[in-house]
Amino acid sequence: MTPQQAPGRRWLHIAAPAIISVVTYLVLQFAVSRAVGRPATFWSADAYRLSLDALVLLQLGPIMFSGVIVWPVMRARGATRLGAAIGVLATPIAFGIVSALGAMAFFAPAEAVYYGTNPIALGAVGSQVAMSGLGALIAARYRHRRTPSRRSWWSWPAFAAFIIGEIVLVACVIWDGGQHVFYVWIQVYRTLFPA
Amino acid sequence: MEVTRRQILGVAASSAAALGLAGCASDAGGRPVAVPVDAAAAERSKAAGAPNLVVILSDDHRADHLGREGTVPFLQTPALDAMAASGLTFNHAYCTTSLCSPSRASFLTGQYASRHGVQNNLSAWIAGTTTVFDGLASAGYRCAYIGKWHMPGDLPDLPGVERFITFTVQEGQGRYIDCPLIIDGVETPRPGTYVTTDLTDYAIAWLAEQDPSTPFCLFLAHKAVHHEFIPPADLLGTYDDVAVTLPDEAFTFQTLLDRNVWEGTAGRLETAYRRYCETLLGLDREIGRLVTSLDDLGFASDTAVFYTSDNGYSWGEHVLTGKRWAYDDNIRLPLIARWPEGIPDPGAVREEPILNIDLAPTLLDLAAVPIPASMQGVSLVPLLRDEPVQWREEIYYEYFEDFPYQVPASRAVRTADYLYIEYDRGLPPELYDTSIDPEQLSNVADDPAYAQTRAELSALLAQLRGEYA
Repeated sequence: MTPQQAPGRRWLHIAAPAIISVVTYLVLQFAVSRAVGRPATFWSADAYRLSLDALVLLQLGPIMFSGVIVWPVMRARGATRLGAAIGVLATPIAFGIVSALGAMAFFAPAEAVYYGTNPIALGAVGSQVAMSGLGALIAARYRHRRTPSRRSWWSWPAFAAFIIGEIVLVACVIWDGGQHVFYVWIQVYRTLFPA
Repeated sequence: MEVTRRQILGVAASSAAALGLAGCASDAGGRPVAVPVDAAAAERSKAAGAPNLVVILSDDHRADHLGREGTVPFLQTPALDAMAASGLTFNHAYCTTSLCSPSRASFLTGQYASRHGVQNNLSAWIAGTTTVFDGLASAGYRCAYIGKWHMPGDLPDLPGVERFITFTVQEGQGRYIDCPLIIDGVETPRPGTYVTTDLTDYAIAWLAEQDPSTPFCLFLAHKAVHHEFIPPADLLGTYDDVAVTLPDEAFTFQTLLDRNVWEGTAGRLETAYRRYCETLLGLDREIGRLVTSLDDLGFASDTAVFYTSDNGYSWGEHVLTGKRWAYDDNIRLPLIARWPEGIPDPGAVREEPILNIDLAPTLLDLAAVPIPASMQGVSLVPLLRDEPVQWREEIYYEYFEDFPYQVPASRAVRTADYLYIEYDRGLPPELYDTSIDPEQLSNVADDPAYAQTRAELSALLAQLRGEYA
């Protein structure tokens, strides 16, 4: 018999993957901000470079790719589709908020908020949608192999999420370095904040 | 809230405009506009033996990246080295704003961004702004502007030039490959071309049309070596195997930091840097081709050629990848002049602080055209001729906010021994003693030993701001 969980703990249990993703991102972000530009605080120049490179690249995990785990685990723990989607998008949204807060030092508040919608944040949302689709497919395949049934494990909606998310990611970040979307984003900025 | 059909259509229309769709049907601009020749001015210019003028402006080429400097052991720039050996190098040339559009406007107008109004990559070029071409054309010069215009706003028709070739794709940044050109106002696809070579071809073709009895001014503005750092196909990979030494504070993926991420270098810093150097190698080759064509056409001896860049570039210094800060890596420019008839000491190096706004008055001075009072720069002609002259001892620098780049608006003063920077917001003042800290890494603004220096430089900065801004 499964012990009954209090609603708060049950919510925490379901949301844990998303929370871990957000916290991991925030911790890495803090570490980068503390270490960057301070090679003298490391025991060697190589250690500084290796550490910073590792921290910056590790950040991409929660920002871009954690959906591959967050979606299926949250769903397996009983999250609704909407709940899991919020969980998956929590880290890229946190990334957008942190970006906007950082931009406050340089731009007016409204501009800083707009900064939070930058193409990299949008690309991160796309990537997480794609990763969710991929995660859903992998989890379905895994379940199907463990408990074979006559029903197909394949999910067209999950596959569509993967493809659409990848398209958004490619457009915002990868295709010509994302500059096409970047220029549209700047044009919208000009419209919203005329000089 | 009730939303009317009119409102929906209005939002759709403004969205289309924001996406640039509305521009498809609009006038491309970019036509040359004739300026009447002032017979007296033309006569004066002729009597003075005014030389032909060629300006080659590159993009983001930092000053210490010349083969002859030896700063980058593997880098080769034989054409620029040859130009320097037969001409004059200005070792302390600076831009007044280290950003493409403002600096380009400063080259053309001889004015600070505060005055010409192109303060960042978003503020529009003001139609009717007087450029150096107005004066040159009225003195009988045939002028051409070929290459990157990259001033915000609609592409203007350009008074004073008889040939105007440029591009507007990607917000005026252009493309290295297949870059469509606007040739005298006509949009022209250029499939199968590499932009540095294509622009040089047009420049050489225009030079070949010139009549030796009429002076000319060619302004050739390259996209290279701006990102995306795409070298000509045959040079791609030339520097793949060389060892790249980054500054101590730099690291490979600093390109992904918020402060750098919009600079178009996302990925490995070393790889982007190698491509930058290869793109520069390709640019140098095209400069060599242009200079050789001047020789072949018989223009070399009475043509003053200037090579410079709009601003410098950081490759890891201060953990930066880009050009918007007041540090030397960003504000110092390569500036080489070649003028066989006018430079008495080929191969010489000058140490005076020079500004990009000095170019326009220099061109007018060479053409014996009076320098308008509106120009804030000073003619370099006495320095070219090695004549005695009272020269400025410090330079004033200004930078304006440019969304989304996380660089505060700033003003700075650079003297022989110090760099002092004040920011509008976000960062405290910075002071560097460049006599002992040439890399500008140790901010001594709060060091009591420099309190008086800081106070003096702050006062000087305020005074210069009053004079120039």
